[in-house]
Amino acid sequence: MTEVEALQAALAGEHAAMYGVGVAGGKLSGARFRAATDTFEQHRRNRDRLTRLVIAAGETPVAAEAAYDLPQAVSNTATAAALVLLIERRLTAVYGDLVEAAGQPAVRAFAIQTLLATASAQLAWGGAPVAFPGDV
Amino acid sequence: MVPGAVALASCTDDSGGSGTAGGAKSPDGVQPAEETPSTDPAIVAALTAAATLSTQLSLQYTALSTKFPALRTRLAAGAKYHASHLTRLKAVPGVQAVTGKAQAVPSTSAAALTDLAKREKAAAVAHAAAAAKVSGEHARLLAMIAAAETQLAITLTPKKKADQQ
Repeated sequence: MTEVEALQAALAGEHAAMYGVGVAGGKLSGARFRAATDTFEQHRRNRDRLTRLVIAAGETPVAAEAAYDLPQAVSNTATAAALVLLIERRLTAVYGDLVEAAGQPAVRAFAIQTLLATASAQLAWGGAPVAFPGDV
Repeated sequence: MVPGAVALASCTDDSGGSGTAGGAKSPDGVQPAEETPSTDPAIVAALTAAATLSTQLSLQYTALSTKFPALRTRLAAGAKYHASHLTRLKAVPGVQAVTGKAQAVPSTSAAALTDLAKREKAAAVAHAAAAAKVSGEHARLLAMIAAAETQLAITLTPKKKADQQ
């Protein structure tokens, strides 16, 4: 996987994450809803950063889809939190790919920082520590 | 389903192209008999430093478990993960951990957990910085170790009352 391929994969992942967290937020309230809002904003910032990196690499950023298939039905607080946890887990692996593929120090630094952030976010959504977050 | 939407698409193990490959084989399928260590000395130095830090953390987990048996269950996962980190790091040719001694253990279990959380956080910072200075699979390994230490630091940190509500 080249650096730009990994950047595009991460960007596609962030598009999907924004969609999924948005759906999950519709089933949350109170502190959980606020946490989902913060999570959504973090993924928006990641999306914007990745878009700039892809453009800087001379490529056209992958576009978001109108809708995505969800891996599970989201019908209540528990399933909404489970969806966000799944999204964060998968993004951690995507950023692991980007760390590995990165050639530019700035890209690698961003990937490492975001891998750590998504690994931490997993705990906020009901996950437990693992030996190698982002391993495939 | 959108192919690029990996955050919501199902993951498969057969996609290749990422992760660390197992033992390399020659085109005729024969495993090389004995490979001379050829890893970049700078990478070996970075991974050796990480292995040494992982060893020190492992010793700290052991010391805490010995002094506070009631914490053993809570400390089990972290101890196991650091052992896994050490195994992966030492699998790189030339990497060896320098074994030291466990640091002083605080007198109460609460203080000991806080101290261990700080050590995990410091290790995560060090390993993330080390990951930024290397590349490829070694950068990924160090970043994943830093991520695990970040998770462990969070779970070991006593929750404030406001967080528990």
